[in-house]
Amino acid sequence: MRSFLSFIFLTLLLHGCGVGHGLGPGPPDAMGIKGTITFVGKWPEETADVAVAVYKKRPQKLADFFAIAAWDTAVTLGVARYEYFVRIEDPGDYEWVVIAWQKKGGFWNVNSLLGCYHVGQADLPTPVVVEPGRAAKGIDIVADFGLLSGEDSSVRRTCMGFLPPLPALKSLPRDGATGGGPGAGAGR
Amino acid sequence: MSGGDGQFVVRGIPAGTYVLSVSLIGYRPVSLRGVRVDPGRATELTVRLVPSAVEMPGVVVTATKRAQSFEEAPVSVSVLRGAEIAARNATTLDEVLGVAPGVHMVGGQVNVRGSSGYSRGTGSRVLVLVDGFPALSADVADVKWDAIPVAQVDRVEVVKGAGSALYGTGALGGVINVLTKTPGETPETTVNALGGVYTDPRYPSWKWTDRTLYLSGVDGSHSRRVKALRLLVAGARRYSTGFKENGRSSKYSGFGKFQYLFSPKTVATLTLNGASEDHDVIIQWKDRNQPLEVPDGAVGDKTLSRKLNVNAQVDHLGSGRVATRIRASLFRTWFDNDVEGRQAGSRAVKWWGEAQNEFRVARGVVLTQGIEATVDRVSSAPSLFGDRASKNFGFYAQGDVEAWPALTLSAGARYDRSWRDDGRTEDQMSPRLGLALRATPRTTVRASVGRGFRAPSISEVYTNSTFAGVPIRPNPGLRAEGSVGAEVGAVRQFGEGVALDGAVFVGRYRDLIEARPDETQTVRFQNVSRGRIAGAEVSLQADWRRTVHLTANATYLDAVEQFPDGGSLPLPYRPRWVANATLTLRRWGGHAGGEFRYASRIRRGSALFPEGSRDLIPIYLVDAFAGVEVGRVSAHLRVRNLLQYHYAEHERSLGEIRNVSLSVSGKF
Repeated sequence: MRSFLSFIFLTLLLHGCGVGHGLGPGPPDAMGIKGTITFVGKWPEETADVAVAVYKKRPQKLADFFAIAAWDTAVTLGVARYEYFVRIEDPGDYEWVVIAWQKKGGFWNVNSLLGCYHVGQADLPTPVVVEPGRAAKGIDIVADFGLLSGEDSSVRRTCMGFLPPLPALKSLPRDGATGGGPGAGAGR
Repeated sequence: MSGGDGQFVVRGIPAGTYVLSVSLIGYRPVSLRGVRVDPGRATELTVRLVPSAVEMPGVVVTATKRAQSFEEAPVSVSVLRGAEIAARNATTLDEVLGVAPGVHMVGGQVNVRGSSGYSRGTGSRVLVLVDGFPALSADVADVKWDAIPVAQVDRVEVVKGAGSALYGTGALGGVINVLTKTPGETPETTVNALGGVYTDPRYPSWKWTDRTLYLSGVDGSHSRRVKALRLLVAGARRYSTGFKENGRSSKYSGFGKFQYLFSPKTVATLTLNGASEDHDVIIQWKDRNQPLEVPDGAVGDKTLSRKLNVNAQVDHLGSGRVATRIRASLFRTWFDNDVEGRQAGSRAVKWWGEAQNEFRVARGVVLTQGIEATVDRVSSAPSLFGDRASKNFGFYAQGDVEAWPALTLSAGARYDRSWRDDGRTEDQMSPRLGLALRATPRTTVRASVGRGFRAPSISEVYTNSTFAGVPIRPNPGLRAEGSVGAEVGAVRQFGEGVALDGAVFVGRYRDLIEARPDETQTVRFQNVSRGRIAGAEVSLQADWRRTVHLTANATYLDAVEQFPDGGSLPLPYRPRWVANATLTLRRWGGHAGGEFRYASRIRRGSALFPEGSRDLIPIYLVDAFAGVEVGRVSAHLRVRNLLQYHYAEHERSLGEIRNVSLSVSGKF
């Protein structure tokens, strides 16, 4: 009986030794910005698309909205959370990482931003530093459909309070100066 | 308790016929029936104990709220001894509870036979007591593991199954009673020092710092008797860098236990326990390629918390047939968070009182009855719980009858009424039936059926905050959750070297409280579902010539959530299999061995982290240990996670990596 029990124990021990190492790293990340979008509020029925847009500089005039550095338009619609990755070509500081919403039949519109990357109760969006050959991770953003109402809030002031007064963008051409992308009236 | 030489005196009992139970670790318990005490005379007895290689629990106090032989308990009870806890170099009790049969830890939350799952620290479906006093906080109803003085633990009794018939709210899945040491008769001072280091993770890309990551601690205690007063005072200091970013923890704690013998029949005990912890907070990892780091915005998140317990108890032995116990306690907690860029704090106090009577109605018939009251008050910011209060009142009665010398029957019930300051009240009736049968001198069979319930905690009802970007909102309509459970079990000894304990159990749950998002991704705690947990548990002790000792246990769970349309899904965070095995070799005054722990893959996690389910792989952990005792000095070496197996107990949280620790203790 005791020999049998010892055998069982040693079998378990050796099985434990031979089962592998458990969790391991995923595929190496390309250079870019990575994080999780958490959606708050009910998804509007008229949602056409949601995208992550990355800007090197916070826009100060209308033309700056066309200077999108990179974007991810593969956001899954209707989910509570989405893990995004935006590939970046040039390392450096990126001042404005935003989540943009597109209405069915409409254009990307600066007035339909759902949120931006900021840490805590910051007054301005938090810059993201992309180091050469590496991904900036944990750049988590809360996307709040409540911002679409246009009501004032601390998040709206943080993400958009610095923007200059802008005309409506509906009449702008689809393609931007740098190849277009969400956030500046450009389509896909 | 007897002295070290085995001499004992039991004073103050009137003439009559008694059953004397004697137990000692490493010996088979003995119950002597028909012990006669004549008026004005002392009865002298010599009790011979037969060495037992397997350690049976002996006397337990939690199963029926009174001292009784383990074999008379109608429910499954496991006991963890203080020496086992100390030998594991544990700094908090949750580090070792998982080795008890039927107990599984998920993210610091204790599960007894799959009772609790994981709710990120809010609420507990296992009632945790310290010396019989409630140890769940008034606001979050969680266990403050750092407030339990692990170095002063004498033993831990784990009672499995619904226990509300005696303990009221919280005993949905079981009761864990942490029993602290009693001040000794002779002066004794102990000092213990602990140090350890964490090794690098298996993958160089996961290494997040070049600093040496370590844990350390020192604790000391002194116990003595001064005339009629016996006292035990202790203090501890612990510091750990943790093995992850934001893993730092710094703690101070103090403990004092004072027993005053008013007379041979009346003893008063006062216990003071306090702890202060300043620690960084980890909610989730950065990502799977950097699992030991936290998101950039979370670096520096921290919590400062303090706890204070004052417990007072008077035990009085009346006419020899009546034993009365009156208890009262105050449990205060404070915490201040600076997490995710928000500051929030809570101050909570739990007032608790109980009066219990144990009445020996006739030979072999014991009636236990009591009343209990609890008041919880919380003061916190509106962005957390607000200012809240709740009250609970209960009374219970249980009868234990020795129908035959080998058969004990128990029947009891408890009524509870709870109030919340929003006007909601709830009534609960919790009956229980049980039996324990000594089928043969070496075999005992037990069976029980009972009801349990858990009133929602203040945090579950009123939380108004954000967690990891997810809004959490109040639900004032939240009701108590309930269960009905039954089990049949048996324990058998084979010769002197093997003991086997097995049980099958089933529990049905209603109105289970779970955090669920609605269509707007707003989370509320809701009474969402019905559940069924069925399973089996087996534990084994085997010993060969007191040289090789094996303990092993395994629990199988079939835990499902049942939906109104007839469908079902696995209950979240319940592994189907949990197993532990420890092999110890004893020789030349020392010991060495290995411990293996296994938990099967969690089949369902949280709806909030659907992508995190890929992290929930089976867990295989191997520890190695060695120890030596030379005179009054002992040392214990332990390597945890020897094979550096990387795992997650829940989504986005890497489990403990390999570490080596050494503790040295001295008694003077």
